[in-house]
Amino acid sequence: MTAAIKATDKIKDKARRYAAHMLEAAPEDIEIIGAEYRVKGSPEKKKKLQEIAFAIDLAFDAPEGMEPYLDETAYYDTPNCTWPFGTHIAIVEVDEDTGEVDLTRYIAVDDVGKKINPMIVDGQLHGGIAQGVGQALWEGAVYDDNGQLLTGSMLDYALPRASWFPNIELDETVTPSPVNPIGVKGVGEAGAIASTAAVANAVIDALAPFGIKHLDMPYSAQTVWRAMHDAKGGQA
Amino acid sequence: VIPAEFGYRRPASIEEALKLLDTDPGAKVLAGGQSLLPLLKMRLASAETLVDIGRIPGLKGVRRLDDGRVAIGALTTYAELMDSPVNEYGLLRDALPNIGDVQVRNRGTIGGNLCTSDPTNHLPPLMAALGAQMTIAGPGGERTVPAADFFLGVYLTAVGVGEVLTKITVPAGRGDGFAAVTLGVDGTCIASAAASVNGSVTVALGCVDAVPVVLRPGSAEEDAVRDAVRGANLAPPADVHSSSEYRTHLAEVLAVRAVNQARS
Repeated sequence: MTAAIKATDKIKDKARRYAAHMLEAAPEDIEIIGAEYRVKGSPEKKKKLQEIAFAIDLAFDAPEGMEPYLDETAYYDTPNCTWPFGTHIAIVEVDEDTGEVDLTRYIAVDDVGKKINPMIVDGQLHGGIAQGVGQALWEGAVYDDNGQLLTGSMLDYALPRASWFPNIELDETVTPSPVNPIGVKGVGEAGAIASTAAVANAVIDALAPFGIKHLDMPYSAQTVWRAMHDAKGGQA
Repeated sequence: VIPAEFGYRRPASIEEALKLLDTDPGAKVLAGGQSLLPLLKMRLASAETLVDIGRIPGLKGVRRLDDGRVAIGALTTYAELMDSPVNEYGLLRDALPNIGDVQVRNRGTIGGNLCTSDPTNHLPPLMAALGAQMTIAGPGGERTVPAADFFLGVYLTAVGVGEVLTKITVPAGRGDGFAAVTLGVDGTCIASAAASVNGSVTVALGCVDAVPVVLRPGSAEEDAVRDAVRGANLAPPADVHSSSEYRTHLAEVLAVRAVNQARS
């Protein structure tokens, strides 16, 4: 993102110099308003960015030493990572007779800095949360004694579907990152990182009356039933 | 993912379909295609010819008979069933919305589901508990088989070579119930139980054997239902989702739940 902004700044600077050439003004006298490049104090003297781009592509008349085309490359080495953070809360109900886990409510408050497209951010969170809950409750690589993978197809590997989830409740805090010019942070992994732990901890909390403090994921119905069954001394 | 080569015929009448099946022993009947086509694509099944009965008139729809029974055309889709008089049957009302997804429910048919006789399908135990009658058409005419005798094994039913299931007739609605444990909300079934209570009690267990296990507990009381399940000496298969022991346990829990629902 920062590299994109730096490249854009370079392009704006080149467009300003070319506009100055077209309008017979000094580059420092050109002001940029939206996509228009105007001579300060003479608002009728102006060029649209499209006109500048077209002219510099043809480059019939370019300032001495200026290369054609409005394209630039920029690189950026960040002084630090961005640190998105948040809190996720899962509410589950465990069926004591069958071991089924019902995810009844899911609330996520994330801080991903400034959002350029909030809908895409929500989609990233929804997808990440579904992936993480899948790991906590359903998805497992099962091998037989010969090392043969038994969950090698979508028929057997329990990838969750939308209908397995409650409506995911999202909210936000906005703390711009100081390590890039527009204050953005990553969001791709936020849902997947928090949701596995939130759901697993909720299940373990529900199993506290049985003295159960740890189970290996996924918390399938059978795994949860088995743990309760054993905790009760094998009595149904 | 790509099926082996097969021929395709689309008869316009049941008579024509039966003739095609009679002359081509390698032919298979195609209805909604929601089970057969995936099996063909994974090459777990093969067919010389698919006889597509999907557009034969008269095999679709739900009709209430004068005596209160409900006749269901074999080509009726799950979506059509959900919007029909079978909604009076609590167990169908509960089970149908959890079969597949919307796309599958718009294409898949009750006849296809029953004839597939997949042990994880919801409908075979439901039909066994309701005491449905299956009407099968063949070269020699029609015959009727009770649901309890219809399912013969995994992917195997009383519908023989050259025959087609045309109609399912369900007794008049009474107290019935259904309970299942599936992967997630509507994934693969791990165990299920369907119950019908009308003076006598019938319980049909799904996913614990190749075919539905039909039990007749002495009463609808919990102890009687549990005794009946224990007395069946179930030895269900184990798979990646469940051990044999867990399925046996679920059968008992779900049978009690289905019966309780049927009584309420």
